[in-house]
Amino acid sequence: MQIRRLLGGILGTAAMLLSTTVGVQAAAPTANITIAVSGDAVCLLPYNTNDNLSFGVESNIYQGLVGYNGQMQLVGELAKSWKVAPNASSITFYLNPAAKFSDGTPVTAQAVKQSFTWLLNPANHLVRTALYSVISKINVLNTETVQFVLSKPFGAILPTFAHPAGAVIEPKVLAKGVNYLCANPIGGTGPFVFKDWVQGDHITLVRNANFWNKAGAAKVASITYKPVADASARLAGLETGQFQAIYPVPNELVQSLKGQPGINVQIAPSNAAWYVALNTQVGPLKNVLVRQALNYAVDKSTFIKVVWGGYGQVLHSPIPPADTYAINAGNYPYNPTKAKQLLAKAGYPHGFTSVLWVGNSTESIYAATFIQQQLAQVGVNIKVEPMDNASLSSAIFSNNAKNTLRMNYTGWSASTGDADWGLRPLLATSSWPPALYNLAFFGNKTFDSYLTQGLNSGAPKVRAAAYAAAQKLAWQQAPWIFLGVSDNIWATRSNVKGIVVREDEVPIVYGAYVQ
Amino acid sequence: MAAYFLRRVLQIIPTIFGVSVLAFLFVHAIPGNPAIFLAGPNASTATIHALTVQFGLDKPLVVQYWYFLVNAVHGNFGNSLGDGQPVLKIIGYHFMPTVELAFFGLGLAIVIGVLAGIISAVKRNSAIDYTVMTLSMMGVSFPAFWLAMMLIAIFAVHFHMLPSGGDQGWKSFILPVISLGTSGAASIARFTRQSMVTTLTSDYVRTGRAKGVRESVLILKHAFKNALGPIITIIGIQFGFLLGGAVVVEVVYAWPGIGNLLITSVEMRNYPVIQTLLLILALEFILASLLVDVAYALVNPRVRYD
Amino acid sequence: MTSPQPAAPQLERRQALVDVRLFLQRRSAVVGAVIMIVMLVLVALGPLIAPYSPSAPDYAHILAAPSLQHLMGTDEFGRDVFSRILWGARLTLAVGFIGAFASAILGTPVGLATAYFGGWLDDIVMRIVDIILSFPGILLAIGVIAILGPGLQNVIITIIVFGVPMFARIVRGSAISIRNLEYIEAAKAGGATNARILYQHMLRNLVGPITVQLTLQMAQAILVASSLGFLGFGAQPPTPEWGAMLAEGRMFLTIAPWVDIFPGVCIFLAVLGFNMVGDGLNDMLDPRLRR
Repeated sequence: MQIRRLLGGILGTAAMLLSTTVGVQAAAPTANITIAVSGDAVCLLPYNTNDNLSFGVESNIYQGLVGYNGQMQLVGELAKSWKVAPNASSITFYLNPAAKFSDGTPVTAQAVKQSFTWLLNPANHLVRTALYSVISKINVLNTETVQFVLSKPFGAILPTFAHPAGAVIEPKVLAKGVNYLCANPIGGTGPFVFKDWVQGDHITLVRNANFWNKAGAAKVASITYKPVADASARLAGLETGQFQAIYPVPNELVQSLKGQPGINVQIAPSNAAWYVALNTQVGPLKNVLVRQALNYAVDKSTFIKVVWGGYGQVLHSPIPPADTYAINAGNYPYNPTKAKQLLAKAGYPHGFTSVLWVGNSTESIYAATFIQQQLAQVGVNIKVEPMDNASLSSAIFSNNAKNTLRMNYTGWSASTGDADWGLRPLLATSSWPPALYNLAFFGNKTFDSYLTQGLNSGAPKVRAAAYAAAQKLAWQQAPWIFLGVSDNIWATRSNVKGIVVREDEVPIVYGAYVQ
Repeated sequence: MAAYFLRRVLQIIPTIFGVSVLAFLFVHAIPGNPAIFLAGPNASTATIHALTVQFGLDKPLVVQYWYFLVNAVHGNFGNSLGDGQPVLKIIGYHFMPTVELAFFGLGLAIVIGVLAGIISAVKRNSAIDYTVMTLSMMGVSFPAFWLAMMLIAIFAVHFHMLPSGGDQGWKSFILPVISLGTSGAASIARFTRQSMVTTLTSDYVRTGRAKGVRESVLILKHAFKNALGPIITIIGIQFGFLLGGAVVVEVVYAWPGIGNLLITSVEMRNYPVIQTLLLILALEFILASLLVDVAYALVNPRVRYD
Repeated sequence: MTSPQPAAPQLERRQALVDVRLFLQRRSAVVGAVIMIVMLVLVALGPLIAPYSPSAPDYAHILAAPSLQHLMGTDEFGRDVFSRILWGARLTLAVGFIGAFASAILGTPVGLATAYFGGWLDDIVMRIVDIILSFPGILLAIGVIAILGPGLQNVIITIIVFGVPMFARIVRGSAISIRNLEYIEAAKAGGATNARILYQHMLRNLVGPITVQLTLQMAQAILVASSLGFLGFGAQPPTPEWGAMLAEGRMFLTIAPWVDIFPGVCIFLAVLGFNMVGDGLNDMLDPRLRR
């Protein structure tokens, strides 16, 4: 993993150098890029955003103090350097003096403070306030230095600031309010500025002529996002040249694209872990032997081959290898005989019946059907209940979910790329629905204490040890059927470069250029 | 007759009121909470609460309905949840694409359907009649979305002749218009034939023929004119249906119309948008059937109003 | 979701209700009847002649093209498409039959009563019918499924929710046309009870249009069920309902078209069969269209 990330870094830097040269040659870019994506953005105010497509659009317009580049490496954006207090109770950012908003106003420590104060104001009812609620005080140390004091030690504070929601927005535009900013993303510092959004049809951004960072300046005149729900429609549009890039490409369609001249298919691992959460509080699934048996009963490599067309890797930890502090926590090789033995030992020699909740997209139903087939072979009969996403989320987040939920096929991508956000919301006792997303209702005090150790420290070594212990314990307790890490697949016209889909499934387009 | 129409128009008011109540109750009865959905799985309870307040969903249902009703009477249908845009603006974006599609789809259906129906009726029991009727029977039996998928697979994916989706230029109209026009043309052809057969076999056409009136005049002037009533009815019904957005066809072709908006709004339980759409669609439906009745009365003054 | 149906014909009292010869004279009606009979045979014998299990996967033969081993190829789990179609016939037809019959049984009395009694009852019931029918059918269906939960039985309930007002309206239309006829007046004058008039004189004379609507409604029910399956609100896996098969195969249309073509053709044929029979009945019962 470390090697892959390092390699990614080198390649990324090389690409940047290369693209910079190209950018210098073409002083006034004229190319327009259209990227077809699977749906429309929801809200383009980063503080109120919760979906990857919206984050993708925002990444062109807004920047944070720190952020993730296309290779998911944490880099300085508006801050040129930063310092986390050793006890993880505060963080200080040193701003880049050149940084300016798109109207030319400099980005000062005061502006950063005002922006985050607005984000933290509960009266604004913002989706992302909770992510930053650990901040208790913001100090302007001088024009270029700002310090965030935390209410308790929080080891994952730096990745939290790198989260796409942590943008700095020009204070004077904030007065326009949430509804306005959702539809008109202005007051950013990024290489592009907002032009127009016709809901359901397109979002267009144009090059920011005043962009403060010459090296990262836009190399195309405009970027247009087109929502095209149907995958084969996206594909056909790419083939005819109507679109310069498309995301996602469903794995069944990769083969038909690969041989085509003029088209470049790209495949890279995501940081989305897919699993079947098993309610550890009710019925047969209370028994750890049963849960382990189910892990032995599902052939994960066949799952990846059949359901994902081979584009993915088997999961060996509750968190994907891309997350910081991920380890290889173990292995449940496919072994139906062993599964049956474990079931017999647990008192279920003839299996049992259960219910699997799943979203009603074709892909999810497909995965659930596979799980159903596999478990049937060890005598565990599953009724698959597909629900539309809103019904599913309200069933999960109801107060009664602990008693009604049995199994749920789902995936998780930690948008901070940090082990804490990959483990805590999914497996900590405090994260049982409706609080967060612990669909297994996993409640293990030792596990919780590991998470606290990791969070109370700013020292990478301490954190690594704590999260390694947590991953091993969760693996052994098997609150999930661990399945796999999916690949991101996207495609571009071959002459279009610099578009990547980041591990967290956010398409990063601002580096795009045409050869 | 005037009294009849006045009564019909006045009936619209209680119907629309009933629709507004039912629409409101119905969308709230569907499980799912837009605050939970939009907050996403990684949201804390605080976030969900923030959104619930942002959307005004913390108030009792009766109060929510009252606000909706009062605002709607003043022409304010509220803001869409999530993106915060005025509902009417969003519906406005999606309205024209649907109207255009309905217009062209129905245009194609009328031209083909009426022509085929007349020919079929005139050449009754001939090979042409059987062919037309068989084709039209097939036309109403296709699952529309399946036909749409097949057309995409053949003309867009395989031959790259036409775009497969979206509303971009005249070429993108071809496949959706064919998909919608097929079943429309088939229904219209069947009704036209049925209606024409009735008038062609009627006494006055026979009398006209005996008097030596030219066949073409007979067919178009006498028979067709008298057959128009049921044909207009079916066209009106079709148009009302298409204006509501041929939902599944719009979904397959990623058409940015009302049908697609309806599906995405239902998916995220975007209450204000769904409620307003339902009101508009109901109004369209009612007006379409009213217009059909008016048109019917104009071409056929013998209709009784009881 | 609803495509308009031919208007119900008017009936003369003495007209024969069922004249099989007239039906057999219509070639399309005969073709439709043959299609329906074949389908019914599939329903009865399908599971016996199916060469494979409809749900057992075979991961080694995924998306295999049609061959002698697999007449209609295999799907994304290596399941035999032909066997799934055979097993699915009974589900698809059950949706059509149950959906249409239940709609008729519940909707006909409403239509008869409103036509016969008229007045405020008619006004109120017809406003309610207007309101339900003015809802976009697909939204109604999605809502009902979301409320009741997934599953084929709830798909059928959805079809009934929309079918009842449809039947009520059509039966009412036909009933109004005979309500003032002499023989009804005569029966009233003769002191017959309302119930007797409704049943003996009106319902019996409306058997024709009701039967026509019933067959057309079956066709509609199958189309609605397949649309719901397509949108992800249909039968639960691994049920081989044809609409659900169509939805599952959608992703593979470009690389393995047989997964989608065969269920689509079967739905088409089933709908065509019902439509043709309905059309034949319609012509048979409508004196103006007799040849």
